[in-house]
Amino acid sequence: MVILKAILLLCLPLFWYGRYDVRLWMATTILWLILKRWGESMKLSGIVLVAVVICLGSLRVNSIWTSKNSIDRERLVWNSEVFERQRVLQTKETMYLPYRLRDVVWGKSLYIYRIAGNSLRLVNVTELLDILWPVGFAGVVIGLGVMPRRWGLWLAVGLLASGMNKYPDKFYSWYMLWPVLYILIERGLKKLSKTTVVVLLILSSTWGVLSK
Amino acid sequence: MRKWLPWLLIILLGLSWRIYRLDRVPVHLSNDEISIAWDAYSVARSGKDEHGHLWPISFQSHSTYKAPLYAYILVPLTLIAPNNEYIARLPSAILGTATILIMGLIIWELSSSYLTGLIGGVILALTPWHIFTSRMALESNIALFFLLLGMWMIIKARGVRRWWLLLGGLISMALSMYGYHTEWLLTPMIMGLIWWVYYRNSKIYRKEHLVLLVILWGVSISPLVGDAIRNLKTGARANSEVIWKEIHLEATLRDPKISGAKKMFVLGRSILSNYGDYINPDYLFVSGLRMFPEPYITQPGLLMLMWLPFLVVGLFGMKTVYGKNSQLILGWLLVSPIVPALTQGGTNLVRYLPMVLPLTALITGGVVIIWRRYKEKAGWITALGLVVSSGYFGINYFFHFPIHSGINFQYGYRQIANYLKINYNQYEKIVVEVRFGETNRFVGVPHLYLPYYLGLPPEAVYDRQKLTDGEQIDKLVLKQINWHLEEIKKGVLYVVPMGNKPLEENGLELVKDIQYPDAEPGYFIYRLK
Repeated sequence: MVILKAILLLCLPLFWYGRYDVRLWMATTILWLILKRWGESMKLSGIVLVAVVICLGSLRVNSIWTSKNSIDRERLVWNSEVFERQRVLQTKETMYLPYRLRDVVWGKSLYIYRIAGNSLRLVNVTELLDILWPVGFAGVVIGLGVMPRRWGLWLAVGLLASGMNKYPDKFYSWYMLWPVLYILIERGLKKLSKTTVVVLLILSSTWGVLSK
Repeated sequence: MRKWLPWLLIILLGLSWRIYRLDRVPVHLSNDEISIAWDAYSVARSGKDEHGHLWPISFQSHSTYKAPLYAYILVPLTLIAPNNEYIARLPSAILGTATILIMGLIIWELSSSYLTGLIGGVILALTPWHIFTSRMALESNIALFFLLLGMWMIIKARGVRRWWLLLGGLISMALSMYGYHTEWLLTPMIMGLIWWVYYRNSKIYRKEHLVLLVILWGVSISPLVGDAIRNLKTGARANSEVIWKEIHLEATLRDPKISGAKKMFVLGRSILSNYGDYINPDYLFVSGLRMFPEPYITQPGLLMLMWLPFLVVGLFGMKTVYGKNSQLILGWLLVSPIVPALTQGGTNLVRYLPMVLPLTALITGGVVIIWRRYKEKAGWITALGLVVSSGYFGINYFFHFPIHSGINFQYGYRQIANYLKINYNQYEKIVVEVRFGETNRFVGVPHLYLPYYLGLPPEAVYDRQKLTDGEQIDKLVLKQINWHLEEIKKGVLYVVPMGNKPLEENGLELVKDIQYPDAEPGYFIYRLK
């Protein structure tokens, strides 16, 4: 089983994405070890701390937080000229509402909607299959059913942080969450028989070869 | 009476969202709507459709061979009411509202809770996706009603021996297949699912009797099957829209250099990818309704964004609300995207409409679970969220959507017809340019819009005269106008889009201009000076 797990970890495309940045790779690996050891019994303060780490890490991976320790405003969703023009146009079009109410209805808070949209776009089956392959995807789906509910916060925070990027990339966006995903995969696959796991692995490798 | 009062209120809520300004929003009858409306009008008066087919089982329409049920339901209405948007869309709005009641009853049945059923009704009544489709003359909305009605009757008959319910359910299921193409595959799959969950080991009904009922159902759909076989070589939607007819995929599948395994993989991946796109939460909650041209900052989703957490809770807590019936809901959820995933052309909210039902059931489950846990606090927050979300949708739908969707709905033909109605007898001929849009890149269907709004006799359309450069229906000459070659005559009226104005030397004078709802120029009507 240990060998199978090692193969799994080495095979899935998502885990290869950190290889360009040693610090990131180390950070996520340490996070993985922490979650494996204490994830289940973690208190609220620990949960929040991990969420902060995932949030900052996601901002870093998405290059919103740059290597020069500054924020790249150009990458932020509310810096999109196209949407801003559209928002202003809609405000002007809303003549049926009183002026002050118009500014509330079509205010900058609408960007929360865009962030939600960007984040949700990352939870797409096709994209998840690309980064996790069928074996990882199946594991995550089953793992979600047995996941401690509090862990949902990490997934939400990671995705929302990535959603702040104008054009989030699936690999970068999910990268900070691989420690969580890996534990979910492990738990999910435990629920399946060995034969099913092997079949899924074969299917995944075929998937990997044929998608090239 | 007390028990039914909340249902009545829910129906009123749903109906008001579905019939308010029904003739104005959407802003004009769409391409598909006018086709259904004309065919109903034509069949009501002559028994023949646009192409002269007598009492057809599928309407040829724009060579798409539309499912027949909507047009036939509309027939009696067109006999007693004038030709307009309200009448054309009314069956959809009424049956859409009835769907809310049936959905509530199904959820009541599956959860064994009256209150849960009511919540389900409210959720469907306020679902943007269902409001949007119930306000258009769409075949899929009618089919959805019959599918759900059939499901409710068959599920209801599972515990007690009631043959009339089973028979009624199967008839309704068959009608759903006459309603829309998605149901051709979906209805048998849902029937199989219900059989698997409830009737497989039934001790109430004898197997031979059940088989007999299914045979009866098979007989009732046999005309449809025969018609589909006859149309196999045509451009019918059921033939042309399948995913393997997608241009790149078809080329890959035909390429002899590509191995069979790779072909299978490419096809499987395309279907899976389509399936994934349909269940993508961004599509479901943020951008699926596509009411506006992109980019639009508050493009609504098929469902309200606020339902997302309820859906997640409902999905994982399905068993606590629906118990053993969650098998049916899960199956229903997995089966619903299969048919649209087998079609090409990107995500399509009309083909995918049946999915609204299991999603409503799950969201309802989520609301109930959260309600049980947090009681009133959750109730107030949910109610506030519902008011804000409905408010945003209402503002977008009733005010902004008509402004931005003129061209998509071929806006202008009703307004042209209104002008022609008054002046029809003053001219010998009315020449109408069939293209429209800023650069004339779209070709419209004035051969249906104008006769419909002018109330021309059906034979004028199905016996229309073919010309070398177009066609003639009564006084209407429909063609692409080339102003350099056009012979200008007195007594002729010219109707042209903004992209094809006459030349100075044509010597025409403008008698009427029609603007799009966003105040951009739309059409111009000219005559000789």
